[in-house]
Amino acid sequence: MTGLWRGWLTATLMTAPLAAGAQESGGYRVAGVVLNAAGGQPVADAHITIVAVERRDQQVSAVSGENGRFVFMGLPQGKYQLAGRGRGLLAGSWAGAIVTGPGRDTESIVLRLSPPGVISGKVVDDAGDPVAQALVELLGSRIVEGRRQLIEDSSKRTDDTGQYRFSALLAGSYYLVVSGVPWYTKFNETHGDSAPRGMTHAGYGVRYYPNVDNPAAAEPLILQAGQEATANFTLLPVPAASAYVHCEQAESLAKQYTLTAAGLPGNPAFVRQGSEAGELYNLWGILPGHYTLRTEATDGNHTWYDASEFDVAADDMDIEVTLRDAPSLSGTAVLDGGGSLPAQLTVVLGGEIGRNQALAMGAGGRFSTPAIPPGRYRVSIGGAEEYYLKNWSAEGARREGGILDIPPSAAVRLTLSVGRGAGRIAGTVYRDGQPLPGALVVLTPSNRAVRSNSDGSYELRGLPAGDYALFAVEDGADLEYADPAAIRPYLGSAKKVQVAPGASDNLRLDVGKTAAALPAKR
Amino acid sequence: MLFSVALILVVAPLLADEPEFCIAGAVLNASTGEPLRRAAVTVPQSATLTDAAGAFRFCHLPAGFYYANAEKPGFVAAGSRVLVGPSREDLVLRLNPQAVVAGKVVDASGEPVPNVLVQVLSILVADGHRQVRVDSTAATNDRGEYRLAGLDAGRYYLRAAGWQGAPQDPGANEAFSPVYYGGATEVASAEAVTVEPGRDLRADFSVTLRPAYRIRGAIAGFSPLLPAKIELVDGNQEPSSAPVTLDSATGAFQVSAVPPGSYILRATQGESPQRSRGELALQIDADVKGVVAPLAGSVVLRGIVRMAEFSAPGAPSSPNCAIQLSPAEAWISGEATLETPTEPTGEFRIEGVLPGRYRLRMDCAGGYVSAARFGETDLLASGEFTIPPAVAPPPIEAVLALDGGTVDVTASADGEAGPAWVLLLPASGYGIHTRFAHLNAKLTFSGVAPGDYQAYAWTGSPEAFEYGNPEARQAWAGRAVSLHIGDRDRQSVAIKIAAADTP
Repeated sequence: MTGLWRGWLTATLMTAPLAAGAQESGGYRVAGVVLNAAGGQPVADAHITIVAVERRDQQVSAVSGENGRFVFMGLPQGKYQLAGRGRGLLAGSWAGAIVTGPGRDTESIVLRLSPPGVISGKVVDDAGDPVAQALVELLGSRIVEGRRQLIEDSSKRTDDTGQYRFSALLAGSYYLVVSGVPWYTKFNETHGDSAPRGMTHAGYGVRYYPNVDNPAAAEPLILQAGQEATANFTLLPVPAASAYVHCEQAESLAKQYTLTAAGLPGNPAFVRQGSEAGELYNLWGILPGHYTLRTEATDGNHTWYDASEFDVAADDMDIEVTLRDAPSLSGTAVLDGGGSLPAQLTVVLGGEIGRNQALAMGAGGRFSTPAIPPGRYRVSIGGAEEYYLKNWSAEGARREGGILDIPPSAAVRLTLSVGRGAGRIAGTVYRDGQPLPGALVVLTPSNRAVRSNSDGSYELRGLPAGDYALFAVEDGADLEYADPAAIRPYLGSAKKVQVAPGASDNLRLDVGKTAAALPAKR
Repeated sequence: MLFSVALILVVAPLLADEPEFCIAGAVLNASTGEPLRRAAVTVPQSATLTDAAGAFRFCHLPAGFYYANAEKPGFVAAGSRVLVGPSREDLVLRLNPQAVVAGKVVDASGEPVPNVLVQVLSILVADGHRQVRVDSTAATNDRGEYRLAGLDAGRYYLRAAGWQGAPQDPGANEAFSPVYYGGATEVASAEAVTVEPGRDLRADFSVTLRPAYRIRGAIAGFSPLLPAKIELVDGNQEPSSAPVTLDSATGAFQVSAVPPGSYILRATQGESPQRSRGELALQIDADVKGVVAPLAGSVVLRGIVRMAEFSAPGAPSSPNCAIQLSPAEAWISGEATLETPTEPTGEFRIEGVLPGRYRLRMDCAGGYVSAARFGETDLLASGEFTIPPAVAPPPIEAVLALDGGTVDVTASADGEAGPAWVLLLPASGYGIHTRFAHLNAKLTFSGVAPGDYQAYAWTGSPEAFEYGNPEARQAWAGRAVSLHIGDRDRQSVAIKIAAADTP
């Protein structure tokens, strides 16, 4: 094997043109062109790297020529991933795998690299003065596991001129959330009530792109490849109250306070985070609204939590926090049909506001944590693709669908039944009788999806036995394939598949009229 | 009826005995003279914001002195002492805009370089030696631009130090050697910039991107989970900002994006005084793997101060000295100065001393150190000495002499009054430090070692004179008063500070 790889390395220096799929002494060719995703012009001097899917430690690099063309030669038969970067462009990769072998055309790979996009702007206050140190959060709206989700990509503080700038952005749709504290409210802490109430009891209302105060009116900023977009915001001071948080327990221990409010759909907004060892924690400058305050204290051995919800109106208010022992969680996972589970398997408890816990499984599938914040968690397993969570039950906590609701101080016992999906579906996607690379192949209701490879081939492994529908979409980048409503138009022409345990299917998929008839969803 | 009586009882004394006054005025931009709206003005126990015309007003103040302070982001806060009783209606507070340093970093072909760490450095003088301190940092954006706001007025050095964190395009594997504003490659030859209030300073840099390399290795003798760090010092004795990752479980480390050159790699582990350190010289012109940084434990530095044989009658019979051991590095690294007093026997010990270069200072009551040795090193002749790794250091042996002279110094500056700084600088260069004085008042130095001295005095900052630097001594030569002190001599020196001498 080593000798073969050495042969590949030397072969990349050769330049003899070869027919598609032709096998030369050292192996196969992968050739193509690097183009600028915005203008379509060739990209010279781009660094291209090709890596074998099964041998990630081995990779070979090449540089594109004046016409943007690149070629790798002497590659063994197999599957490869291709990635590249060019000066002034964002790094990018080819969506599926490139498959080399007899009769496979790997001569015209097109790798598109995006120029970097920018979103910048200025944040001012009601008087038009720049707001320094305002927090600008950038959330990308992307399809993750089949659903459009908001992912926090980055956050910046405005500079002394109120300006912020996010650079190196890919084309896509973004949301922007801007928050801040009027600088003069700091006198609240040192000057007590002597400063005018309007000066200390003020806060800035959160603003969303396009400079609106209502999260329901927030819109995505659609950024094209290489575009420089501007988004300016005005933070308006509104009367705010102080919430005095009292916690008489765990004296001398630092209590961690996290205040959140409703933000963009599915994304609670962080309002304040702080730590206080004393009995009193002053949440000042809090705008009227509904809030959740989470409190946590730990002495290293023991952990306490509380979560309180409250409404803030115009007046200062007091909030009593009563810490309670942390819930504990333990459980056992059992492989359906018997046998032992692999060591890399983990139980994943996906919580709100990013409170995710991954618990490793020990011998006999046992897992536990002495302290977990109370709240709602989505239960799943991870770590090994072909294993899936078949069923689960809980003692000491409620189950609502896929959600585990852990009450304060509970001792939760989970019992997981893990299935091993040995089924496999593979095949090729065609359009007009030609293999179609880069198509999205969706298997439902498993919510699994893959991109077809350079030869139109696809493969889904580790599938639980059952009845499925399988279809392919030519441009599926924006398809929320885990959403039943989004995939309904495709189900009519989908292939019905029955996956038997351990069985392997070879299925031809055709992309044609169905997909073309649908309006492209951007 | 009862209610109104009570009210009168409370209010009446205030009305009768304590007249109330107001402080009112305006806040202005000191550079333009324009009014500043929404500046915060405070007097004790009270705060307000100026209106659109920059005006403010506090009332119901009992007579007395108040300190009124104004501030606004982007301006240097300023205040004024005000006597009220009667009211003061015309107080004007002028705020200087804060200084901003901004600029652009480009490469040899003029292309902007993003993600460059730009440092603002200032030089302090401590015990006559320069120390470099990093005051502020910023990173360039995608257009190669940086902006450092909120700087106080002063003299600074600007350094494009390396990448901010990991380089933006890790695959590119390029880096540049640090460069100062003006093009110098080390702080010693760099050109200082003077930052003044309200003045925006533009400082552009050109960096030379070169292939960069990676240093991979492990700390030998590493203890898992104890705090540890890897530092890289470049050939100019300046810290490198090449990104370091260190595995806290194994001690394996990687320094990436290292520009070619010679370096000292330094590994430190543990918490004081149980610390260990290893240093390794490296010449980097390719990727390096398998570097092993050996740790050597800290040592105990022992010493003894003995009394000179012939003491004056009535002199103390045992030495009473304060011993200070400071790292001799120019860049402030967070390494503390270690201090200890002598025992009645004259012995002292300093624990937790890491191998490295140091300076020793011994201040003894009533006398002077007439001899001090560390192994072969004469500590009176050389300001610095090196504590080697992995061996027990020889003891420091010093002699305390009590036959020193006395010098009375009086500094004056054209009849002015106020604080001043006085320095007696011996030809040997050892055992000196700046002392605080009052102009026109006598300051007495006792137990001064016999020998030749230069006496200096100045006003302003105690750090103004970098007397540990021969060049600085040369520059100040015209301001010195020379004197010779014999055994148990007493001398008086008068130093006139010319107005031009004030830094």
